[in-house]
Amino acid sequence: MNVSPSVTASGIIVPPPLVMPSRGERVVIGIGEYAVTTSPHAEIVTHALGSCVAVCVWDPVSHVAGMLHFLLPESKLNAERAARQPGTFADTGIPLLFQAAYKAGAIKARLRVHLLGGAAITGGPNGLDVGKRNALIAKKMLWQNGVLVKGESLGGTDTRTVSLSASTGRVQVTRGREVVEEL
Amino acid sequence: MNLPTALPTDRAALDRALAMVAEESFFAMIDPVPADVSAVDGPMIGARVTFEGAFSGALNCRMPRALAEELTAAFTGEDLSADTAAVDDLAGEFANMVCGRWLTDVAPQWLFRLDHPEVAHVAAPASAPSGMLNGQPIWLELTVEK
Amino acid sequence: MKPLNILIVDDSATMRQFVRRAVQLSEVPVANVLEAANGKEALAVIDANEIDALFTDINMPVMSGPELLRELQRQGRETPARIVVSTDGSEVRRQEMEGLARWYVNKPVRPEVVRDVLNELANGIAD
Repeated sequence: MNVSPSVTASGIIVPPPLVMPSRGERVVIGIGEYAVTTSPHAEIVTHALGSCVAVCVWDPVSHVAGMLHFLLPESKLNAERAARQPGTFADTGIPLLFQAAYKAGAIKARLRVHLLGGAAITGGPNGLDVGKRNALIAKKMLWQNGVLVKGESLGGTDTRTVSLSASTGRVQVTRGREVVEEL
Repeated sequence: MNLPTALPTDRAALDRALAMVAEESFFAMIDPVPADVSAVDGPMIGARVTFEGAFSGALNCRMPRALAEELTAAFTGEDLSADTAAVDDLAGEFANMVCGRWLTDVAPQWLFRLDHPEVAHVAAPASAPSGMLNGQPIWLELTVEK
Repeated sequence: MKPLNILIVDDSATMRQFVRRAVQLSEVPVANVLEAANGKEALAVIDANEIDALFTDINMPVMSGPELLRELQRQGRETPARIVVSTDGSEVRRQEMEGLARWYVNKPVRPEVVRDVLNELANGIAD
C-alpha cells in the first residue's frame, strides 16, 4: 500500500488510500475513500451514498476542496479495517480529511463544510439507524473541533450522488441526470 | 381558555422529547434498554425540574455521573469532566430541555413556568431505565397533578 | 462592519457556554461576549455596556426573559436586538414574544441556527 500522498498531473493531491482520477479533473471516490484537490477546476464525486455520509470541505480563497465518504461511525468496531482504510470510519476519516485539506492550503476559519447522506436504507449495515448515527457523529466531531456546518442534505430513504466543485464550492445532489438539490 | 380535562401522562411524547434533545444538542441516539442491562457502577446524578401552569408537576432525570460528564463535553465542545459545577449544571439543563419539549408537545396551547433545576447526588432507581444514551442508562420519571 | 457586543442571558452556565461557542464560531465579527444569569443581571450589563444583540432564555429566577424584554421595551431601547432561546415552543409563547423579540429559537438549538440568526442580524445592520 502506498502510504505517501500522490500528486496528479493536474495538481490533485490524493492522500492515502489512493484514488486516481478517472479522467481529467474529475475524481471519483468510493466508500472509505477521500480526496483533496488544489486544482481550481476539479470536481470530486461520490456515488450511491446511502447510509454513509459524505463530508465536503471547500476553502473559497485557496479553492482547496475535499470529500470523504465514510461508512460507519466508530473505528473501534473494526480496528483492523480502520488501520487499513481509515476513511471507513468517521472518527478516523474526518481528521484525515481536514489534515489533508490544511496541508493543501485550506484555512480552518474559511472552510465551508457540507454533510450529505445518512439515509435510512433497508437492509443496510447494522439496521436502519446507522445513517442517523453517521450523521450525528459527523456533527459532533465538527462541533467539538470548532467547525460549523454550512449546509446539509441528510436522512430520507434515497441514495445520493454528490459532487463538489473546487472552483465554486457548489455541492450538488443528483439522481440519474437530474439535479435534485444544490447547496 | 379551558383547562385540560385530562392530565397528560403521554409516555411516548416524553420518549420523543428525550430523543429530540439527545440528538439535536448532544449528537446521540436513545437506544432500547437491553434485557441484561448492568447495574450502574459509580456515582449517579439526578436533576428535578418542577413546572406550573394549566397543570403542575415535575420531571426527574437520573443518569450515571459519567454519562453527565460525556454529555457536558458533547454540549459545550470542551472536556469539563473535572468541573463539578459544569456537570451538575448540564444535568439540570438536560432535564430542563426534555421537560420543556415535552410540555410543548403535550400542551402547546398553554404557558408554563419551569423552575430552575434542582440537582443532587442520587441512587440508581430500582425501576428499569427509560432508555440508553451513549450505552449508559437514563431514567425519566414524570409526575403530573392539577 | 463594527464587531458586535453580544450578551447571553440564561440561568444555565453550560447553555451560556454553548451559545458563546456558537457565537464565536459564527461568521459575524464579535468584539465581546458577556453573560448574565437572569434578567436583572442582564439589565445591569446593558446599562454599563453597549450591547448590540442579546440572547435570552424565558424561564429564569429573579427576573424572567419576558420580564427583561418588557423592561427593555418600557425603556424604549432600540438596541440590543433581541433573540429568545427557549424550550418553550408553544404558539402561545411565540405570540407573547411578538413585538418583544425579533427572533425566537427553540431549544434544543443547533449552533448553526445561532450563526444564521447573527448573519441575519448583521445583514440588517449593514443595510
